[in-house]
Amino acid sequence: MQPITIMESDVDFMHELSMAKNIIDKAQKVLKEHNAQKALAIYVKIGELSSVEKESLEFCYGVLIKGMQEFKECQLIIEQVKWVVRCNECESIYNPNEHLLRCPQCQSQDYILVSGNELDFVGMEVE
Amino acid sequence: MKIQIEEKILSENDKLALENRKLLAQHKVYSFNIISSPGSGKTSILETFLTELPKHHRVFVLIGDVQTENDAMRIIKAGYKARQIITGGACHLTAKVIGRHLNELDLHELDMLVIENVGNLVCPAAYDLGEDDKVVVLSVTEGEDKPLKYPSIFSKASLMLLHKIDLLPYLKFDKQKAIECAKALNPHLHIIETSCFSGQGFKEFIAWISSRLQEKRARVKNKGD
Repeated sequence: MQPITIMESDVDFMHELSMAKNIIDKAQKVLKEHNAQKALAIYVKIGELSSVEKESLEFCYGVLIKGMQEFKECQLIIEQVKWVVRCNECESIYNPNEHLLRCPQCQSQDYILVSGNELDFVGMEVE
Repeated sequence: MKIQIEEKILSENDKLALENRKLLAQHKVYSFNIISSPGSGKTSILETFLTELPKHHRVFVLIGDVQTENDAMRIIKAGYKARQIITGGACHLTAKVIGRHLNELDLHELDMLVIENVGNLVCPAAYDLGEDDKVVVLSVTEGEDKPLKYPSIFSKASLMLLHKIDLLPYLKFDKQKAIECAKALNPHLHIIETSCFSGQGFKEFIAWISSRLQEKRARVKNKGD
């Protein structure tokens, strides 16, 4: 039996490029919904755990908006969010990366996530 | 004019993943998504897993690769149903792609859908496909600090296979440290040591998957009633 092979032609390429494409798709939808002519800024939040590189995302965004008149003046504003957890034993707030994954106060490894997982489209400025 | 949106960047993918999840639940199909770096042993794991899985389970395997249909051929040669998805450069599968395949499969004739993702620990962690469990593979030929380098996938997985464990005597791999790193990221992560060479761990792997399948059936049944 031969495998049935499907070539996917419309899938997204690479991590930051696919994120940038998702951001622009969303922004285009927002422009349309608000009957706006052009975008001035797009605000996103990227958490430390999301494995998205700020510089790569900016680069990919810049490549994708080339030739798109409505995004000509639009800045992509990226807020980077640190990985922060709260210790379930002593309630200390800390970044596990800076403390080798243990609570700096009580050495516990039992925590809940406070931030760091963000991949959020926060909003836009349009005209 | 400022507009507040507050949505996930991947909300479109998440919506399609939810549709996939509903469709699989409707047909009582349990699904897991196996994720690792290239060369960790995903396809070999699936070959051994399928060979040792009790034959009454009806399984279909979707395999994502950047190029070639070699991996699907391996699964088909072992006597199982599989389909290759060639992503042509993309380093991950998306819910949209999986959804298209789900619509073409006879889901009512299946108990289990196995998705082998493209070898990569970054992007597959961000794209929900609608699966029930993510299974991450860390082989002992890699670094023991990999969970710390790729925290997202290790914190989202339900099961980790610590693979090629038979090679441990020949390597400097610090097994305890690898387990500690993974557990620190995800205290609920279940870890099984496996080897395709010796067969170690596969009974436990199959028992774990079977119990997840039974749990899903019970959950779907309760909801359905």
